[in-house]
Amino acid sequence: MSSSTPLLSVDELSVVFRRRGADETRAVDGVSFTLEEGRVTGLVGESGCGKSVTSLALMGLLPDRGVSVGGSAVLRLPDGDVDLLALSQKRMRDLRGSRLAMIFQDPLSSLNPVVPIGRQVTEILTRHRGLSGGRARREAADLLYRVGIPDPTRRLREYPHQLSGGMRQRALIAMAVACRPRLMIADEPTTALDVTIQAQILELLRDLVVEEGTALLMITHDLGVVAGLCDDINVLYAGRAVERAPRSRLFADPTHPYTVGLLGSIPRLDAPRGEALTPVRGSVNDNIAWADGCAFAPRCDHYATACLQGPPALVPTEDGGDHVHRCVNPRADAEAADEEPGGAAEDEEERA
Amino acid sequence: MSLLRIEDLKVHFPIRQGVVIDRTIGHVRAVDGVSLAVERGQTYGLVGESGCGKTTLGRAVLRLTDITGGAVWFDGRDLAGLDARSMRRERRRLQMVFQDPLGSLNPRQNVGSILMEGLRTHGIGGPDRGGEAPRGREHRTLVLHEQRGRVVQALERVGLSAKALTRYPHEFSGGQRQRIGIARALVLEPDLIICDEPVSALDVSIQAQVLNLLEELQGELGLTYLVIAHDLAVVRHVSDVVGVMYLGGLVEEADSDDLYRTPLHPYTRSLMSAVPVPDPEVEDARERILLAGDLPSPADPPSGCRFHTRCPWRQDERCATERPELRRLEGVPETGTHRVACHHAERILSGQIQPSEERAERIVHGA
Repeated sequence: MSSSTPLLSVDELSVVFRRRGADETRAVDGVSFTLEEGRVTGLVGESGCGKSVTSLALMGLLPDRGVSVGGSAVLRLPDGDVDLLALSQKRMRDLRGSRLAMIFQDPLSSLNPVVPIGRQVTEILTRHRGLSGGRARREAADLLYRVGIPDPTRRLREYPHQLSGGMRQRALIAMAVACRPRLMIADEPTTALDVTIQAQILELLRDLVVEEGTALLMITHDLGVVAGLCDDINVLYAGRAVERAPRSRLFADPTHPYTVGLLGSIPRLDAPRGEALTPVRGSVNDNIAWADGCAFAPRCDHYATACLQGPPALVPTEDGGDHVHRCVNPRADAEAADEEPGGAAEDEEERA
Repeated sequence: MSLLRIEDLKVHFPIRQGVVIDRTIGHVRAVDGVSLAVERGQTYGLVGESGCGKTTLGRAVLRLTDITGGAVWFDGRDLAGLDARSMRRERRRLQMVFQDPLGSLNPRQNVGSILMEGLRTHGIGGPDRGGEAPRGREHRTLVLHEQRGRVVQALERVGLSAKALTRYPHEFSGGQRQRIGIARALVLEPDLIICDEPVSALDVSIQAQVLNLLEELQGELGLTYLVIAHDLAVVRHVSDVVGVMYLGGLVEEADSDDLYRTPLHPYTRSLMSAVPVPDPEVEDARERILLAGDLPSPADPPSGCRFHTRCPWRQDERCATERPELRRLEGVPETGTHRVACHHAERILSGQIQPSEERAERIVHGA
């Protein structure tokens, strides 16, 4: 990791949802990471791991009632540092769109269906850059062109339903980059798209990071996308990071049993046929609370009694440095290699 | 003989316009002349992007969608010509597993009732009374008992227990629901199961569990699968033969290993180069062919080769005027049963034709 001060440092972020008459839900339970300019940081995990809630918390998009957000997220600005989690709504509105931008998973539901694309793009230019009228429209057309939408002046007059899925996602990216944000959060930006369109969008994001020096937080469940795009990767499980490493280390030498399981679950295009998948047992519902021990222990093939004695800490792995994991009983490489494929019959066994 | 043989299958949906007078102003050619064969005990994987007609093809085989033209031979009978009653009877042997397990299970029916429904419809279970009409409470009890036995057996095969019988779909996780969907298909002891995006709604770790389950069941019961999915890696993992669809037509068909080793059709090549591989070294090193633009509308497909508007290898007039047939390569015997629908496949394979950089949006060569 570079020695420069990070653009955003998130420290012990936690998000707790409270409902009357029900137990509180700790969606994010102490997540820390840093984002640097010109680098892509990945948050990877399955549904329910807290990756999307993390992004909503950073953008200040969670509702006030019934939610408590803890920890800090310090953003470096030219005029001093600010904690995103402590800012007023008004100040946050100024930052969103100008310094911070977000791209959501489903482009159709993030665009207003009854407003033409053009007005949705110029709205940002007017709000944050003070452009209006013809200048705003020209700038909007230029933005659409830059993200690869052909015939942008015609597209500006069209409504979201008239655009294809890939084109809508491009329009959203155009809106996100309209004010050259320093920090961009992309929450599953390609999940709703076909692979050939996904490849186009990922290439576009890669270019933005390289050319503009934007810091990108990439949130995804797809380890394939992560391998091609992210520089640093955080693997999340049940609201906490269980492993963090630069991408080459994570894929070459994963140490946390959950990361190993995730990698073993993906059918690889380049794997020889007939190679069985080695999935993780059970489902996310089989967790225990982090306070009691390792949340992954009930699904782990390699757990010991030590795993259930209090919350495990994030510690450096044997190769040290910036490769850390949250595991008290990591398995050695040799063991991982002759791992037997788990019986699928007992997977997700009935819970009474 | 192949268990399932589809010949020149066409499914066209009319586009209607007008309030008082209903006029048909065109057709969406969802499936437009597809021929393929699925061998007994094997898995045929059909892959393609949204809008390519793969789901419609699966539904047409089961006659859940009306067939416009062509034939569907299943075990020697043409399903396309059957009346509704005989088709219903035939469906005992052809079952389907749907993409969205929550949407395909009735939320007001408990699992037992969902699984029993097929058995009741087809009158399966109970002692054979030699043609005599079954009568009386005693007989009904026997039938119910045997049906329950079959249902429990199917549930156990997919890794659930009899406790699930009295519970409702919402009480299960996504992976478990998909298992129920598979059990519902299994309980009728079908020969062919059509799996339409069986794992795309599931988390990766659960995805792998379901894929392994499908393979185990095939080994135990000798099932034949037609797997329809958009994920080439998933399809390649489970299939013996893979067919690639683009805009209503099959553009390439090959043994799953051959397809990966030597993809012949330009569309397959770009599709393959777009599938992310969870390995940074592979990701950095390989060539990526980024296609320009989106899929054309199937209501107004391009003339000639359907892919010519986006094809980086596009050549002469012929690509735009003559629709290529699915054929074996000439003069390249090692490609075997590999079939491709491209006029220039031989010259693309030998490298005589190079992709044009302007037509591919950009071809990114690995570092």
